[in-house]
Amino acid sequence: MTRPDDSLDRVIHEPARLRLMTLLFVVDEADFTYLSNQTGLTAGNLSTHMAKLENAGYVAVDKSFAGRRPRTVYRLTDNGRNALVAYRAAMDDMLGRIDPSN
Amino acid sequence: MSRPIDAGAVEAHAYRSRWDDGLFDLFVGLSLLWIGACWIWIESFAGLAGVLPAVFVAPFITFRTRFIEDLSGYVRFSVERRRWERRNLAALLTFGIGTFIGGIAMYFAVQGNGLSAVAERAVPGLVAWLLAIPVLIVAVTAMLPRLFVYAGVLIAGGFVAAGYETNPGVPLMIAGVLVTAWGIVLLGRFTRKYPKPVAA
Repeated sequence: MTRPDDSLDRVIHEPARLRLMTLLFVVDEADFTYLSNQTGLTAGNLSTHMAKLENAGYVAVDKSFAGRRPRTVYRLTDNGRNALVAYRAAMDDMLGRIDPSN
Repeated sequence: MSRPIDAGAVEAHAYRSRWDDGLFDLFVGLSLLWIGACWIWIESFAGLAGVLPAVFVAPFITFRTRFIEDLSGYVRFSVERRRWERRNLAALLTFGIGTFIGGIAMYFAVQGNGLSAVAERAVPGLVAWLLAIPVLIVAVTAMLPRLFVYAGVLIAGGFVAAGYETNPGVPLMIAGVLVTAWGIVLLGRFTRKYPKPVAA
């Protein structure tokens, strides 16, 4: 028997990664500094979460230089975009069964 | 109960936060002070005072972008957002060029005939009202309430100047002081919030 939460993507379900995915969903691309500042995650935490999203094929990484400083830019892949849309649909479906009057 | 992801609100918040550095406010405030000072103390240069800030717009945008990216990080917004920005920038440029040409045309038109009594009474407020328009355009572009307040201060200042028949530079100086002061506050907050870049 499948449990209702089996349809939730656990890579996205983690709050920090959900925030990162949502941020990348609404912009074209953003670098490490921007994501760290917007989410309040430390460099170490952010690196770990971004690596998980990259391994899942949800984000693409581009390493370059801005002047003399290295810059790591992330953008959501089509796969990641579809996964977030599917995650939202699954959450809507799950929460839609809750009757607030009960 | 959990709320669904509001992508539009997240994007709008991220976009608005790009204007929280206070540099734009400082640019507007100092420009108003400069134009106001020219109207009050260098009257012969008053009509052309706006040219200097206009010349500095492009270098200012480049400097601001680099300053922000160094501290708060790089982000490229969606195609729709960039299109919206370009449209409003075009409106701003059209207004600037239109005002400049209109000003010159008006100058030559009133050379021989002079102004009507009503137009003459409005002159002290005219500069403030004209400058409120580009501020309003940027306010709509950036969706920033404080820029609507700045435009409101300029418009109200224009009416006060027209009512009391002050020098046209007076409302600009008052608005300039307020906007510059707020820009300094915002810049201070910004540099405290983003003290140094985070290493990847």
